[in-house]
Amino acid sequence: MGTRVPPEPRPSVSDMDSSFTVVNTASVSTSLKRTIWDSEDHHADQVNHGDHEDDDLKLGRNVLIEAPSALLIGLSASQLPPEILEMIFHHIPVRECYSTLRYVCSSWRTFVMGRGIQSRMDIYINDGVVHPSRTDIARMLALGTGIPSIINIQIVNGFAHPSRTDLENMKPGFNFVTSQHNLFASDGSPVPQYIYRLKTEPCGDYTVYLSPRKLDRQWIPNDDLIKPLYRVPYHIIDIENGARHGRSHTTARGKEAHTCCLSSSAFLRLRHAMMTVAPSCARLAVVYW
Amino acid sequence: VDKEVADRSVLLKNMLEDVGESDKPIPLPNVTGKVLKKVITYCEHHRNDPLPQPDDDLDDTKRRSDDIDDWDADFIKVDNDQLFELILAANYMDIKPLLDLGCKTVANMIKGKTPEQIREMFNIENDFTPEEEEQIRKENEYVSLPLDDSMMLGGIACLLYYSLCIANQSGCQHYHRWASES
Repeated sequence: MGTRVPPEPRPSVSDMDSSFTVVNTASVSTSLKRTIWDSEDHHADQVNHGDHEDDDLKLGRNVLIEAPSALLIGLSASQLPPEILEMIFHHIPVRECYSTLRYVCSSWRTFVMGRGIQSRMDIYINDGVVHPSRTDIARMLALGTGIPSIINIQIVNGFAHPSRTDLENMKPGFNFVTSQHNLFASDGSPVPQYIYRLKTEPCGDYTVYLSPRKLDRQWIPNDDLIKPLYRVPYHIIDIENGARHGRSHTTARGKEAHTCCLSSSAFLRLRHAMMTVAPSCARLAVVYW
Repeated sequence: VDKEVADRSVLLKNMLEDVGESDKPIPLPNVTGKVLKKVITYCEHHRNDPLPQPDDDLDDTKRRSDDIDDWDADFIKVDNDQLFELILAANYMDIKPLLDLGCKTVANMIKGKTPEQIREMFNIENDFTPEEEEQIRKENEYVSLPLDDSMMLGGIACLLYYSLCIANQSGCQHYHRWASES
């Protein structure tokens, strides 16, 4: 009588899964190896016998062995690896990525939406009443492009609609900054106000001033005040409405009145203009005076 | 293939440095013969170009995709399958200028197209899940018409309304006239 061999423990489901995977992997890798070996043998034969020498891709004494076409799966644009998608989408304006490419297929959508926050808008309100409403800002955020944005709102010596409570309730997505007199950059340092009086047409009735920070001017190869380049990683756009620059009208009582609010349509156009001229900017600031 | 041509590929360059000149074959398992020949044609044409620097990626001007020279534009006129194979081969063989060329070409093909046109062009299946479809529908609820269009539509609606009112009014007058006469 030989010694009794204890029965092997019954395989669990996880064991079965793993053995299945191993077998599969082995068979795939074996067949893959065989294909490559076959290919190599084929080429070796060609090199040895001197057949089809013109077809061989020789690199000095080395021979380049290319893949048999059977190894390549049929390609589709939706199956491109993320690093290549990133390189392709890099050449496409951010706005178009969000307005078009994310509606093409599921993988592209996941990729575009996974790129994170693409723009940031800081709104500073100085000594004034400001409209847009909560709805306007929500629409502005989702405006056509749906580009993920952060809107920072800072009120200096003023009051605003929506109220502070409204703004705070709008989190996340809004970052309500309270400050007194200084405009702060994202790193916390005060923003110097270098206002170069530049007019941008798409904003219609409103004059837009671009004030790049001093440090950022190094990024502007052609720092032309008349025709600036907008490829600034960080810049501020000041909006000055008619109240300060004579865009006023006379009321029925003969008094001069100023329009101090930026309408939602103007906001939409402004936002569109921003995304057009500066799709890659890291931070945008809108200043109401 | 000359060594300086092969050196355009960082992969081949490194492999050659490792293997040295020998009879040992260099396997390129991800590149078919047809595409490899095309890649070599590209490398031969650009053999004297300066090699790309790592810092080039940081240059924001590289976003533009309209700076393709005539030879490259002619070279890259291939069918979509071969274009993607070329991109993958350039990525695998680490030939950055060729990879850029392929990506710029695809970007140029995409620009200005609608999602349907892009799907058709690249034979991409619309594979959105019902949840994604619902999300897309919600996103599009927020999209408002441009100001000019909405104003125009509003104007048309007003015109239609007034036309209906006038027609109704005149219809009523006709009716009243007909009713009183009869």
